[in-house]
Amino acid sequence: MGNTVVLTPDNLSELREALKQAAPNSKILAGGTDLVLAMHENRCSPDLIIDLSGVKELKYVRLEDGHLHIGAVTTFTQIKENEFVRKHALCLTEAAALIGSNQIRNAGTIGGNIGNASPAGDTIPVLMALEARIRVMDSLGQVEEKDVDELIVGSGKTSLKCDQVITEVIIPVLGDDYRSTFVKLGSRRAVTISKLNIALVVKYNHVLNTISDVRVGLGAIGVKAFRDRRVEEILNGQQADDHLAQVLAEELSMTVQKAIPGRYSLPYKKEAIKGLAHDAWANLS
Amino acid sequence: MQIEFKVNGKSCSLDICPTMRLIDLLRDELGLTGTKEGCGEGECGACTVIIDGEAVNSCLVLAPQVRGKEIITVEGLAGDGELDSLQQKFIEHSAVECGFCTPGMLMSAKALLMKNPHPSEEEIRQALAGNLCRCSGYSKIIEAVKDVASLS
Ligand SMILES: Cc1cc2nc3c(=O)[nH]c(=O)nc-3n(C[C@H](O)[C@H](O)[C@H](O)COP(=O)(O)OP(=O)(O)OC[C@H]3O[C@@H](n4cnc5c(N)ncnc54)[C@H](O)[C@@H]3O)c2cc1C
Ligand code: FES
Ligand code: FES
Repeated sequence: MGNTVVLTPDNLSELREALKQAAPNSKILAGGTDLVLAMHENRCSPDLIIDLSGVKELKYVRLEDGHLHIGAVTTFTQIKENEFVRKHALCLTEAAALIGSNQIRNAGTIGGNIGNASPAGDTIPVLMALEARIRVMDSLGQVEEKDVDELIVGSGKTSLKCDQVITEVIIPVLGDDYRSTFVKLGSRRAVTISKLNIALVVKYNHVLNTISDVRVGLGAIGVKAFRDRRVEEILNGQQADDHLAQVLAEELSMTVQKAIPGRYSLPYKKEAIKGLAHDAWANLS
Repeated sequence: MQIEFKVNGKSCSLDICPTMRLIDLLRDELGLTGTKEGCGEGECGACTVIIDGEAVNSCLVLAPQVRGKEIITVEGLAGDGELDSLQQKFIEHSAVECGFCTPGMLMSAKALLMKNPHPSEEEIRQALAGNLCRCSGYSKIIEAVKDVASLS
């Protein structure tokens, strides 16, 4: 690693210039909570590192045209404390608040959570359930928008080209008739990596007491988080009562059994997800 | 590469190896060995320092990331030979046993009090959740911080 070069752009145009030097063995550095550890453990030795920590233009949360715009270098602490996020995408507030420790939340960024593409990354199922789009920029300044599902292709793998960087997360705000939540289960109560996580978004009709536009994001089951369209279909239009919580729990357990057949963690996860489903449901009411 | 930053109020300009972590910069280059390395992976908090007002794990920061920033380490707490009130209360409450976690605990608590001078017990527990202690059982540490928080 003796020859590693670190570029430290201070704004977006310097970032574009820096990206021109990017090659397959270069890395973007944001908060460092994944990358610095990977480098220290020799799991990763980039020739070139582009440090985003000076690019202040990528740290923001804005509400514009019915969308939340979150800069890629925004930390979990900033997200957790943001009132727009709390009001319009509560499940993201809850996920940010449950990530790591205070120290990790102060350094770790939303762009880094996506870029790291860990199967257990907590914001990933949340962004899927919120139908977020991810804005990406390349060395020529060309901008593209992708779904999280297109961007993340496997465990630790993204479809980003080496001269591309995530610049922004765009989330359509949830209307006042929506409820959302995020729950996770790890090996201890706080400061823990998810063994299972669920993001749940529903549109609630309080006159009929029914739910629609149900969105279920699941993480830490298999190599990549996913939307559980089967379970969403089952729940759409149903009465929001205790029976439905039971259905959610049983059906998610079925999803786990289908997703990771024969995996050593299956006996644990297919039971544990039931409790987590009940927690998620309880948070919605 | 050349970087400039401030540590405990003093400006530094140093030529560093760009892949060095902040903890190594502090301990090995600047001799600030109060900051401890426990796990080296973000779990224990012994390496906690304050950067621009926020507590972070110095084992997860790459040295070039502190360009232009202000760092406070445990050495920066005591001024003019006088202990910071947190240090004083840690001693009074016997919140220090082997002491390995103490610098990190102090810095997490300090960052909290800088933002919120009168935190609740729950807020104190949250702020210290990323700091592990193998000796004390935590309650004396929490009591010491509560005591400082109740000073006006
Ligand atoms: C003790 C500990 C606890 C943790 N707890 C949790 C937890 O509870 N939940 C959770 O989800 N994660 C957790 N993590 C993992 C980590 O903190 C998160 O994944 C975090 O979001 C990483 O963000 P970062 O800014 O630190 O990323 P970095 O380490 O800087 O980068 C991570 C990866 O993403 C890439 N990247 C970063 N920014 C961009 C960008 N803008 N565009 C393209 N690629 C980019 C980098 O190249 C690198 O491959 C934990 C980590 C530790 C050490
Ligand atoms: S040494 Fe940094 S968190 Fe343990
Ligand atoms: S006093 Fe020994 S680890 Fe805390």
